[in-house]
Amino acid sequence: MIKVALTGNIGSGKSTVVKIFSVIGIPVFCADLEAKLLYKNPVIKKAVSDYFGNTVFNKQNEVDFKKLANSVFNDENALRKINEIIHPGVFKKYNAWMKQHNSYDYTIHEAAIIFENKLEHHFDMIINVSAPEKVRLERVIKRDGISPEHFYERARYQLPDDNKSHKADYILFNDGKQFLIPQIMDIHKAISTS
Amino acid sequence: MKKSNKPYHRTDNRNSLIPTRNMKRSDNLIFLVCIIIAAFFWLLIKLAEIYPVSYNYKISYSNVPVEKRLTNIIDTALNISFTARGYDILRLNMTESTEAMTIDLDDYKIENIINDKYSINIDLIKEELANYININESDVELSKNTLQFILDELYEKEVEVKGRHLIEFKDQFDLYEKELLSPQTVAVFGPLSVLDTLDFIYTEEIRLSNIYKDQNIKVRLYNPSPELLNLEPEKVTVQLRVERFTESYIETDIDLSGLPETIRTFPSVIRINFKVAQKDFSNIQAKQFKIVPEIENIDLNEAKRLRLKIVEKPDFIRNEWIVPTDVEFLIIK
Repeated sequence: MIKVALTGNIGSGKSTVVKIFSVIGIPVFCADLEAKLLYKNPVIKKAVSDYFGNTVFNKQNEVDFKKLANSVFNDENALRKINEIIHPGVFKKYNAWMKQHNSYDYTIHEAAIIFENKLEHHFDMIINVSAPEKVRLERVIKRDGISPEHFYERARYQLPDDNKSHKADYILFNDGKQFLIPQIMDIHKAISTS
Repeated sequence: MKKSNKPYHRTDNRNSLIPTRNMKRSDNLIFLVCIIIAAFFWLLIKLAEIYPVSYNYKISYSNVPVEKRLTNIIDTALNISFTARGYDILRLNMTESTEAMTIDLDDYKIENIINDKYSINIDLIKEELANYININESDVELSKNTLQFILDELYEKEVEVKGRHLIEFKDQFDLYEKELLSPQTVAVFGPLSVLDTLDFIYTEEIRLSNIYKDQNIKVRLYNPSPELLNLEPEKVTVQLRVERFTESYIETDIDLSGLPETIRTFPSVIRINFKVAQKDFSNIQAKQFKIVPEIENIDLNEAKRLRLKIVEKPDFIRNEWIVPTDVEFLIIK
Protein backbone atom coordinates (compact mmCIF):
# COMPACT_ATOMS: atom_id res chain seq x y z
CA MET A 1 0.00 0.00 0.00
CA ILE A 2 1.22 3.43 -0.92
CA LYS A 3 1.51 6.03 1.83
CA VAL A 4 0.71 9.47 0.43
CA ALA A 5 1.14 12.69 2.38
CA LEU A 6 -1.01 15.70 1.54
CA THR A 7 0.41 19.02 2.61
CA GLY A 8 -0.04 22.67 1.85
CA ASN A 9 0.31 26.01 3.50
CA ILE A 10 -2.36 27.74 5.53
CA GLY A 11 -5.39 28.61 3.36
CA SER A 12 -4.27 26.46 0.43
CA GLY A 13 -7.50 24.41 0.54
CA LYS A 14 -6.27 21.11 1.94
CA SER A 15 -9.62 20.44 3.60
CA THR A 16 -11.48 20.66 0.30
CA VAL A 17 -8.95 18.32 -1.33
CA VAL A 18 -9.27 15.88 1.57
CA LYS A 19 -13.06 15.87 1.18
CA ILE A 20 -12.77 15.06 -2.52
CA PHE A 21 -10.34 12.21 -1.85
CA SER A 22 -12.73 10.90 0.82
CA VAL A 23 -15.66 11.02 -1.62
CA ILE A 24 -13.75 8.96 -4.18
CA GLY A 25 -13.09 6.38 -1.45
CA ILE A 26 -9.56 7.11 -0.32
CA PRO A 27 -8.96 6.86 3.46
CA VAL A 28 -7.61 10.10 4.89
CA PHE A 29 -5.76 10.52 8.18
CA CYS A 30 -6.01 14.11 9.43
CA ALA A 31 -2.85 14.56 11.47
CA ASP A 32 -3.68 18.04 12.75
CA LEU A 33 -7.04 16.85 14.04
CA GLU A 34 -5.48 13.80 15.67
CA ALA A 35 -2.80 16.00 17.24
CA LYS A 36 -5.47 18.18 18.82
CA LEU A 37 -7.17 15.09 20.24
CA LEU A 38 -3.86 13.96 21.68
CA TYR A 39 -3.69 17.05 23.86
CA LYS A 40 -6.53 15.52 25.89
CA ASN A 41 -4.30 12.54 26.73
CA PRO A 42 -3.11 12.88 30.41
CA VAL A 43 0.44 11.83 29.53
CA ILE A 44 0.68 14.52 26.83
CA LYS A 45 -0.94 17.11 29.10
CA LYS A 46 1.64 16.38 31.79
CA ALA A 47 4.49 16.70 29.30
CA VAL A 48 3.10 20.05 28.12
CA SER A 49 2.60 21.21 31.68
CA ASP A 50 6.13 20.20 32.65
CA TYR A 51 7.61 22.35 29.90
CA PHE A 52 5.22 25.32 29.64
CA GLY A 53 3.69 25.36 33.13
CA ASN A 54 0.00 26.04 33.69
CA THR A 55 -0.04 29.20 31.59
CA VAL A 56 -1.14 27.30 28.44
CA PHE A 57 -4.11 25.64 30.15
CA ASN A 58 -7.62 26.99 30.51
CA LYS A 59 -9.91 26.84 33.55
CA GLN A 60 -11.13 23.38 32.56
CA ASN A 61 -7.51 22.22 32.64
CA GLU A 62 -7.50 21.69 28.87
CA VAL A 63 -4.72 22.95 26.63
CA ASP A 64 -5.65 26.37 25.28
CA PHE A 65 -4.36 26.31 21.70
CA LYS A 66 -4.26 30.10 21.42
CA LYS A 67 -2.12 30.38 24.53
CA LEU A 68 0.07 27.52 23.34
CA ALA A 69 0.52 29.20 19.96
CA ASN A 70 1.52 32.43 21.71
CA SER A 71 4.04 30.52 23.84
CA VAL A 72 5.80 28.93 20.88
CA PHE A 73 5.66 32.17 18.89
CA ASN A 74 9.20 33.35 18.29
CA ASP A 75 10.58 30.51 20.40
CA GLU A 76 12.15 27.78 18.27
CA ASN A 77 13.07 25.66 21.25
CA ALA A 78 9.48 25.65 22.48
CA LEU A 79 8.27 24.75 19.00
CA ARG A 80 10.76 21.91 18.73
CA LYS A 81 9.71 20.69 22.17
CA ILE A 82 6.01 20.64 21.37
CA ASN A 83 6.72 18.70 18.18
CA GLU A 84 8.76 16.19 20.18
CA ILE A 85 5.83 15.75 22.54
CA ILE A 86 3.11 15.43 19.92
CA HIS A 87 4.57 13.83 16.78
CA PRO A 88 5.45 10.41 18.25
CA GLY A 89 1.91 10.11 19.49
CA VAL A 90 0.47 11.19 16.15
CA PHE A 91 2.60 8.66 14.26
CA LYS A 92 1.67 5.93 16.69
CA LYS A 93 -1.96 6.62 15.89
CA TYR A 94 -1.20 6.85 12.17
CA ASN A 95 0.47 3.44 12.15
CA ALA A 96 -2.47 1.91 13.95
CA TRP A 97 -4.83 3.57 11.51
CA MET A 98 -2.77 2.27 8.57
CA LYS A 99 -3.17 -1.30 9.75
CA GLN A 100 -6.94 -0.83 9.58
CA HIS A 101 -6.73 0.46 5.99
CA ASN A 102 -4.12 -1.84 4.45
CA SER A 103 -6.54 -3.18 1.88
CA TYR A 104 -6.55 0.12 -0.04
CA ASP A 105 -4.25 0.97 -2.95
CA TYR A 106 -3.16 4.03 -1.07
CA THR A 107 -4.03 6.21 1.92
CA ILE A 108 -3.55 9.90 2.55
CA HIS A 109 -1.94 11.53 5.58
CA GLU A 110 -2.94 15.18 5.73
CA ALA A 111 -0.66 17.56 7.62
CA ALA A 112 0.25 21.20 7.15
CA ILE A 113 3.88 20.76 8.16
CA ILE A 114 5.44 17.68 6.58
CA PHE A 115 8.61 19.25 5.17
CA GLU A 116 9.06 21.66 8.07
CA ASN A 117 9.26 18.76 10.51
CA LYS A 118 11.29 16.65 8.06
CA LEU A 119 8.67 13.92 8.02
CA GLU A 120 8.78 13.31 4.25
CA HIS A 121 10.76 10.11 4.63
CA HIS A 122 7.70 8.49 6.27
CA PHE A 123 5.81 8.63 2.95
CA ASP A 124 6.06 7.19 -0.54
CA MET A 125 4.60 10.21 -2.28
CA ILE A 126 3.79 13.78 -1.33
CA ILE A 127 1.08 16.02 -2.79
CA ASN A 128 1.36 19.76 -2.25
CA VAL A 129 -1.79 21.88 -2.46
CA SER A 130 -0.60 25.16 -3.92
CA ALA A 131 -2.30 28.54 -4.02
CA PRO A 132 -1.01 32.11 -4.35
CA GLU A 133 -0.43 33.89 -1.06
CA LYS A 134 -3.06 36.54 -1.86
CA VAL A 135 -5.70 33.85 -2.41
CA ARG A 136 -4.70 32.05 0.79
CA LEU A 137 -4.81 35.27 2.76
CA GLU A 138 -8.35 36.04 1.53
CA ARG A 139 -9.52 32.52 2.35
CA VAL A 140 -8.13 32.54 5.87
CA ILE A 141 -9.45 36.00 6.67
CA LYS A 142 -12.88 34.90 5.45
CA ARG A 143 -12.72 31.52 7.22
CA ASP A 144 -11.16 32.43 10.56
CA GLY A 145 -11.87 36.15 10.73
CA ILE A 146 -8.26 36.95 11.55
CA SER A 147 -6.18 39.95 10.58
CA PRO A 148 -3.60 39.86 7.77
CA GLU A 149 -0.87 40.29 10.42
CA HIS A 150 -2.11 37.21 12.24
CA PHE A 151 -2.10 35.29 8.95
CA TYR A 152 1.52 36.21 8.30
CA GLU A 153 2.46 35.21 11.86
CA ARG A 154 1.00 31.77 11.31
CA ALA A 155 2.45 31.45 7.81
CA ARG A 156 6.00 32.32 8.84
CA TYR A 157 6.56 28.82 10.31
CA GLN A 158 5.72 27.22 7.00
CA LEU A 159 8.06 26.75 4.08
CA PRO A 160 7.35 28.91 1.05
CA ASP A 161 4.85 27.36 -1.32
CA ASP A 162 7.42 27.17 -4.13
CA ASN A 163 9.77 25.12 -1.96
CA LYS A 164 7.04 22.69 -1.07
CA SER A 165 5.98 22.33 -4.68
CA HIS A 166 9.58 21.73 -5.68
CA LYS A 167 9.94 18.93 -3.12
CA ALA A 168 6.51 17.36 -3.73
CA ASP A 169 5.75 14.57 -6.18
CA TYR A 170 2.42 16.08 -7.24
CA ILE A 171 1.09 19.61 -7.15
CA LEU A 172 -2.59 20.54 -6.95
CA PHE A 173 -3.21 24.11 -8.07
CA ASN A 174 -6.07 25.42 -5.99
CA ASP A 175 -6.11 29.08 -6.95
CA GLY A 176 -9.88 29.18 -7.47
CA LYS A 177 -9.46 29.45 -11.22
CA GLN A 178 -8.37 25.97 -12.18
CA PHE A 179 -10.66 23.00 -11.75
CA LEU A 180 -9.61 20.98 -8.73
CA ILE A 181 -11.46 17.71 -9.28
CA PRO A 182 -9.90 16.88 -12.67
CA GLN A 183 -6.43 17.45 -11.16
CA ILE A 184 -7.28 15.18 -8.24
CA MET A 185 -8.66 12.50 -10.56
CA ASP A 186 -5.45 12.62 -12.62
CA ILE A 187 -3.32 12.19 -9.47
CA HIS A 188 -5.66 9.46 -8.22
CA LYS A 189 -5.23 7.52 -11.47
CA ALA A 190 -1.47 8.03 -11.44
CA ILE A 191 -1.09 6.78 -7.86
CA SER A 192 -3.54 3.91 -8.32
CA THR A 193 -1.69 2.61 -11.36
CA SER A 194 1.84 3.13 -10.02
CA MET B 1 -29.97 164.33 -29.00
CA LYS B 2 -26.68 163.38 -27.42
CA LYS B 3 -25.75 159.81 -27.64
CA SER B 4 -25.49 158.33 -24.20
CA ASN B 5 -22.46 156.18 -23.27
CA LYS B 6 -24.22 154.48 -20.37
CA PRO B 7 -24.37 150.73 -20.69
CA TYR B 8 -28.09 150.60 -19.81
CA HIS B 9 -28.81 152.07 -23.19
CA ARG B 10 -27.51 148.85 -24.64
CA THR B 11 -29.53 146.94 -22.17
CA ASP B 12 -32.60 148.80 -23.25
CA ASN B 13 -31.82 147.88 -26.82
CA ARG B 14 -31.37 144.26 -25.86
CA ASN B 15 -34.62 144.22 -23.82
CA SER B 16 -36.49 145.47 -26.78
CA LEU B 17 -35.65 142.16 -28.59
CA ILE B 18 -37.06 139.76 -25.93
CA PRO B 19 -40.80 140.28 -26.60
CA THR B 20 -40.17 139.46 -30.26
CA ARG B 21 -38.69 135.97 -29.38
CA ASN B 22 -41.48 135.16 -26.91
CA MET B 23 -44.01 136.01 -29.51
CA LYS B 24 -42.42 133.53 -31.94
CA ARG B 25 -42.56 130.73 -29.35
CA SER B 26 -46.17 131.46 -28.62
CA ASP B 27 -46.96 131.27 -32.33
CA ASN B 28 -45.36 127.84 -32.55
CA LEU B 29 -47.42 126.57 -29.63
CA ILE B 30 -50.65 127.84 -31.10
CA PHE B 31 -49.75 126.22 -34.40
CA LEU B 32 -49.04 122.90 -32.67
CA VAL B 33 -52.34 123.00 -30.79
CA CYS B 34 -54.16 123.71 -34.02
CA ILE B 35 -52.45 120.75 -35.66
CA ILE B 36 -53.49 118.48 -32.79
CA ILE B 37 -57.05 119.71 -32.89
CA ALA B 38 -57.09 119.22 -36.65
CA ALA B 39 -55.67 115.71 -36.28
CA PHE B 40 -58.22 114.92 -33.61
CA PHE B 41 -61.08 116.03 -35.81
CA TRP B 42 -59.57 114.17 -38.72
CA LEU B 43 -59.44 111.02 -36.57
CA LEU B 44 -63.05 111.49 -35.47
CA ILE B 45 -64.11 111.83 -39.07
CA LYS B 46 -62.13 108.75 -40.07
CA LEU B 47 -63.47 106.68 -37.17
CA ALA B 48 -66.97 107.64 -38.19
CA GLU B 49 -66.42 106.14 -41.61
CA ILE B 50 -67.38 102.54 -42.50
CA TYR B 51 -64.60 99.94 -43.01
CA PRO B 52 -64.66 96.29 -44.13
CA VAL B 53 -62.58 94.05 -41.80
CA SER B 54 -61.84 90.36 -41.55
CA TYR B 55 -60.62 88.36 -38.55
CA ASN B 56 -59.42 84.76 -38.36
CA TYR B 57 -60.21 83.22 -34.97
CA LYS B 58 -58.68 80.06 -33.51
CA ILE B 59 -61.56 78.10 -31.96
CA SER B 60 -61.64 76.47 -28.54
CA TYR B 61 -64.54 75.35 -26.37
CA SER B 62 -65.55 75.57 -22.75
CA ASN B 63 -68.19 73.82 -20.68
CA VAL B 64 -68.12 70.54 -22.57
CA PRO B 65 -71.02 68.34 -21.33
CA VAL B 66 -69.89 66.48 -18.22
CA GLU B 67 -70.71 63.06 -19.61
CA LYS B 68 -68.55 63.63 -22.70
CA ARG B 69 -64.99 64.55 -23.55
CA LEU B 70 -63.87 66.79 -26.39
CA THR B 71 -61.24 64.73 -28.18
CA ASN B 72 -60.91 66.51 -31.50
CA ILE B 73 -61.84 69.92 -32.95
CA ILE B 74 -62.62 69.49 -36.64
CA ASP B 75 -63.17 73.17 -37.43
CA THR B 76 -60.22 74.73 -35.74
CA ALA B 77 -60.59 78.24 -37.22
CA LEU B 78 -63.40 80.64 -38.09
CA ASN B 79 -63.14 83.65 -40.38
CA ILE B 80 -65.46 86.57 -39.61
CA SER B 81 -65.87 89.47 -42.04
CA PHE B 82 -68.02 92.56 -41.52
CA THR B 83 -68.25 96.25 -42.24
CA ALA B 84 -68.47 98.62 -39.29
CA ARG B 85 -67.68 102.10 -38.21
CA GLY B 86 -64.11 102.78 -37.20
CA TYR B 87 -65.26 103.52 -33.62
CA ASP B 88 -66.76 100.05 -33.27
CA ILE B 89 -63.80 98.31 -34.86
CA LEU B 90 -61.47 100.15 -32.48
CA ARG B 91 -63.62 99.20 -29.48
CA LEU B 92 -63.67 95.56 -30.63
CA ASN B 93 -59.91 95.53 -31.00
CA MET B 94 -59.39 97.09 -27.59
CA THR B 95 -61.84 94.97 -25.61
CA GLU B 96 -61.92 91.57 -27.29
CA SER B 97 -59.33 89.14 -28.61
CA THR B 98 -59.29 89.03 -32.37
CA GLU B 99 -57.14 85.90 -32.56
CA ALA B 100 -58.78 83.25 -30.35
CA MET B 101 -62.40 82.57 -29.55
CA THR B 102 -63.60 80.33 -26.75
CA ILE B 103 -67.11 79.12 -27.36
CA ASP B 104 -69.17 78.29 -24.30
CA LEU B 105 -71.04 75.13 -25.28
CA ASP B 106 -73.64 75.83 -22.59
CA ASP B 107 -74.96 78.60 -24.85
CA TYR B 108 -75.38 76.39 -27.93
CA LYS B 109 -77.51 73.52 -28.95
CA ILE B 110 -75.17 70.63 -29.68
CA GLU B 111 -76.33 68.45 -32.52
CA ASN B 112 -75.13 64.93 -33.22
CA ILE B 113 -74.16 64.51 -36.87
CA ILE B 114 -73.01 60.90 -36.84
CA ASN B 115 -71.43 58.63 -34.23
CA ASP B 116 -69.24 60.85 -32.08
CA LYS B 117 -69.26 63.81 -34.49
CA TYR B 118 -71.17 66.85 -33.24
CA SER B 119 -71.80 70.38 -34.42
CA ILE B 120 -73.19 73.72 -33.27
CA ASN B 121 -74.92 76.38 -35.33
CA ILE B 122 -73.02 79.61 -34.89
CA ASP B 123 -75.66 82.13 -35.93
CA LEU B 124 -75.55 83.21 -32.30
CA ILE B 125 -71.99 84.41 -32.82
CA LYS B 126 -73.16 86.50 -35.72
CA GLU B 127 -75.97 87.95 -33.62
CA GLU B 128 -73.73 88.69 -30.63
CA LEU B 129 -71.09 90.32 -32.78
CA ALA B 130 -73.65 92.44 -34.61
CA ASN B 131 -75.09 93.64 -31.32
CA TYR B 132 -71.67 94.32 -29.94
CA ILE B 133 -70.57 96.53 -32.77
CA ASN B 134 -74.00 97.98 -33.55
CA ILE B 135 -74.42 96.70 -37.08
CA ASN B 136 -76.97 94.59 -38.85
CA GLU B 137 -76.59 90.83 -38.62
CA SER B 138 -76.64 90.75 -42.41
CA ASP B 139 -73.41 92.75 -42.47
CA VAL B 140 -71.55 89.97 -40.66
CA GLU B 141 -70.21 87.12 -42.77
CA LEU B 142 -68.92 83.88 -41.26
CA SER B 143 -66.73 81.42 -43.17
CA LYS B 144 -68.90 78.58 -41.77
CA ASN B 145 -72.40 78.35 -40.42
CA THR B 146 -71.63 75.39 -38.20
CA LEU B 147 -68.58 74.26 -36.27
CA GLN B 148 -67.84 70.56 -35.95
CA PHE B 149 -65.99 68.63 -33.29
CA ILE B 150 -65.68 65.15 -31.83
CA LEU B 151 -67.17 64.36 -28.43
CA ASP B 152 -66.30 60.96 -26.97
CA GLU B 153 -68.38 59.27 -24.35
CA LEU B 154 -66.77 59.52 -20.94
CA TYR B 155 -65.84 56.18 -19.37
CA GLU B 156 -64.43 55.28 -16.00
CA LYS B 157 -61.51 52.95 -15.32
CA GLU B 158 -59.92 51.98 -12.03
CA VAL B 159 -56.13 51.97 -12.46
CA GLU B 160 -53.20 51.19 -10.20
CA VAL B 161 -51.10 54.02 -8.80
CA LYS B 162 -47.31 53.74 -8.97
CA GLY B 163 -45.01 55.88 -6.91
CA ARG B 164 -42.09 57.77 -8.38
CA HIS B 165 -39.46 58.86 -5.98
CA LEU B 166 -35.83 59.81 -5.94
CA ILE B 167 -34.68 59.43 -2.38
CA GLU B 168 -31.21 59.90 -0.97
CA PHE B 169 -30.97 58.18 2.37
CA LYS B 170 -28.64 58.96 5.19
CA ASP B 171 -25.78 56.44 5.45
CA GLN B 172 -26.98 52.91 6.38
CA PHE B 173 -30.65 53.84 5.96
CA ASP B 174 -32.90 52.50 3.26
CA LEU B 175 -36.52 51.75 2.41
CA TYR B 176 -37.71 48.86 4.56
CA GLU B 177 -40.41 47.81 2.12
CA LYS B 178 -41.99 49.00 -1.09
CA GLU B 179 -43.75 52.29 -0.63
CA LEU B 180 -47.36 52.08 0.53
CA LEU B 181 -49.81 54.11 -1.52
CA SER B 182 -53.19 55.11 -0.24
CA PRO B 183 -55.38 54.67 -2.17
CA GLN B 184 -53.64 52.06 -4.30
CA THR B 185 -56.00 52.62 -7.23
CA VAL B 186 -57.80 55.68 -8.55
CA ALA B 187 -60.72 56.23 -10.90
CA VAL B 188 -59.77 57.72 -14.24
CA PHE B 189 -62.47 59.30 -16.40
CA GLY B 190 -61.90 59.77 -20.10
CA PRO B 191 -62.56 58.50 -23.61
CA LEU B 192 -62.46 54.73 -24.02
CA SER B 193 -59.71 54.96 -26.64
CA VAL B 194 -57.42 56.65 -24.13
CA LEU B 195 -58.43 54.54 -21.14
CA ASP B 196 -57.65 51.37 -23.10
CA THR B 197 -54.00 52.40 -23.25
CA LEU B 198 -53.81 53.26 -19.57
CA ASP B 199 -52.75 50.57 -17.08
CA PHE B 200 -51.42 52.70 -14.25
CA ILE B 201 -50.94 56.26 -13.14
CA TYR B 202 -47.71 57.60 -11.71
CA THR B 203 -47.48 60.05 -8.90
CA GLU B 204 -45.55 63.24 -9.42
CA GLU B 205 -41.90 62.55 -8.62
CA ILE B 206 -40.96 62.85 -4.96
CA ARG B 207 -37.42 64.06 -4.34
CA LEU B 208 -36.07 63.68 -0.82
CA SER B 209 -32.60 63.73 0.66
CA ASN B 210 -30.86 62.76 3.91
CA ILE B 211 -33.80 60.55 4.91
CA TYR B 212 -33.51 58.46 8.08
CA LYS B 213 -37.08 58.06 9.34
CA ASP B 214 -40.55 57.14 8.07
CA GLN B 215 -42.24 59.56 5.70
CA ASN B 216 -45.90 60.27 4.93
CA ILE B 217 -46.27 62.45 1.89
CA LYS B 218 -49.37 63.69 0.13
CA VAL B 219 -48.52 63.80 -3.55
CA ARG B 220 -50.41 64.83 -6.67
CA LEU B 221 -50.97 62.24 -9.38
CA TYR B 222 -49.38 62.83 -12.74
CA ASN B 223 -52.13 63.24 -15.32
CA PRO B 224 -50.65 62.19 -18.65
CA SER B 225 -53.36 64.00 -20.61
CA PRO B 226 -55.10 66.68 -18.57
CA GLU B 227 -57.29 67.77 -21.47
CA LEU B 228 -58.74 64.28 -21.86
CA LEU B 229 -58.52 62.62 -18.47
CA ASN B 230 -59.84 63.37 -15.02
CA LEU B 231 -58.45 61.61 -11.97
CA GLU B 232 -60.42 60.94 -8.83
CA PRO B 233 -58.84 61.52 -6.36
CA GLU B 234 -56.08 63.73 -7.72
CA LYS B 235 -53.75 63.12 -4.79
CA VAL B 236 -52.57 60.03 -2.91
CA THR B 237 -50.62 59.49 0.28
CA VAL B 238 -47.21 57.84 -0.06
CA GLN B 239 -45.96 56.11 3.04
CA LEU B 240 -42.24 55.31 3.14
CA ARG B 241 -40.95 53.01 5.87
CA VAL B 242 -37.30 53.69 6.58
CA GLU B 243 -34.97 51.51 8.63
CA ARG B 244 -31.29 51.32 9.47
CA PHE B 245 -29.63 48.43 7.59
CA THR B 246 -26.52 46.42 8.24
CA GLU B 247 -24.50 43.98 6.16
CA SER B 248 -24.28 40.40 7.37
CA TYR B 249 -23.81 36.85 6.16
CA ILE B 250 -24.83 33.33 6.99
CA GLU B 251 -23.51 29.96 5.91
CA THR B 252 -25.71 27.13 4.74
CA ASP B 253 -25.50 23.78 2.98
CA ILE B 254 -26.24 23.55 -0.71
CA ASP B 255 -29.53 21.70 -1.16
CA LEU B 256 -28.89 18.74 -3.46
CA SER B 257 -32.14 16.89 -2.76
CA GLY B 258 -33.85 17.63 -6.06
CA LEU B 259 -31.07 16.43 -8.35
CA PRO B 260 -31.45 13.44 -10.69
CA GLU B 261 -28.06 12.06 -9.62
CA THR B 262 -26.38 11.76 -6.25
CA ILE B 263 -23.65 14.34 -6.25
CA ARG B 264 -21.26 15.94 -3.80
CA THR B 265 -20.24 19.53 -4.25
CA PHE B 266 -16.98 21.18 -3.20
CA PRO B 267 -17.50 23.15 -1.11
CA SER B 268 -20.78 21.85 0.26
CA VAL B 269 -21.38 24.94 2.37
CA ILE B 270 -21.68 28.40 0.90
CA ARG B 271 -21.87 31.87 2.34
CA ILE B 272 -24.78 34.18 1.64
CA ASN B 273 -24.01 37.86 2.08
CA PHE B 274 -26.92 40.27 2.41
CA LYS B 275 -28.24 43.49 3.83
CA VAL B 276 -30.80 43.32 6.59
CA ALA B 277 -32.68 45.84 8.69
CA GLN B 278 -31.21 45.93 12.18
CA LYS B 279 -34.59 45.09 13.67
CA ASP B 280 -34.68 41.83 11.66
CA PHE B 281 -31.06 40.86 12.27
CA SER B 282 -31.80 38.40 15.06
CA ASN B 283 -34.50 36.64 13.01
CA ILE B 284 -32.09 35.35 10.37
CA GLN B 285 -31.55 31.58 10.34
CA ALA B 286 -29.73 29.35 7.87
CA LYS B 287 -32.82 27.16 7.38
CA GLN B 288 -34.64 30.14 5.86
CA PHE B 289 -32.37 29.88 2.83
CA LYS B 290 -32.38 27.31 0.08
CA ILE B 291 -29.48 27.25 -2.35
CA VAL B 292 -29.58 24.81 -5.23
CA PRO B 293 -27.39 24.13 -8.26
CA GLU B 294 -28.76 25.22 -11.61
CA ILE B 295 -29.05 22.01 -13.61
CA GLU B 296 -31.47 23.08 -16.32
CA ASN B 297 -29.92 22.31 -19.75
CA ILE B 298 -26.77 20.97 -18.07
CA ASP B 299 -25.29 17.54 -18.75
CA LEU B 300 -23.96 16.53 -15.33
CA ASN B 301 -21.58 14.05 -16.98
CA GLU B 302 -19.95 16.81 -18.98
CA ALA B 303 -20.12 19.81 -16.64
CA LYS B 304 -17.18 20.63 -14.37
CA ARG B 305 -18.90 23.23 -12.23
CA LEU B 306 -22.46 23.92 -11.17
CA ARG B 307 -23.75 27.43 -10.87
CA LEU B 308 -25.70 28.10 -7.67
CA LYS B 309 -28.86 30.06 -7.20
CA ILE B 310 -30.92 31.21 -4.22
CA VAL B 311 -34.45 29.82 -4.46
CA GLU B 312 -35.65 30.57 -0.94
CA LYS B 313 -34.75 33.44 1.33
CA PRO B 314 -36.41 35.58 3.96
CA ASP B 315 -38.40 38.47 2.52
CA PHE B 316 -36.66 40.96 4.73
CA ILE B 317 -33.15 40.58 3.34
CA ARG B 318 -31.88 42.33 0.24
CA ASN B 319 -28.81 42.78 -1.98
CA GLU B 320 -27.94 39.14 -1.38
CA TRP B 321 -25.09 37.39 -3.13
CA ILE B 322 -23.45 34.06 -2.60
CA VAL B 323 -19.82 33.00 -2.32
CA PRO B 324 -18.80 30.97 -4.21
CA THR B 325 -21.19 31.41 -7.09
CA ASP B 326 -20.34 27.99 -8.52
CA VAL B 327 -18.94 24.74 -7.18
CA GLU B 328 -17.12 21.70 -8.46
CA PHE B 329 -18.89 18.41 -8.00
CA LEU B 330 -18.57 14.65 -8.21
CA ILE B 331 -21.30 12.25 -9.21
CA ILE B 332 -21.50 9.43 -6.68
CA LYS B 333 -22.24 6.11 -8.39
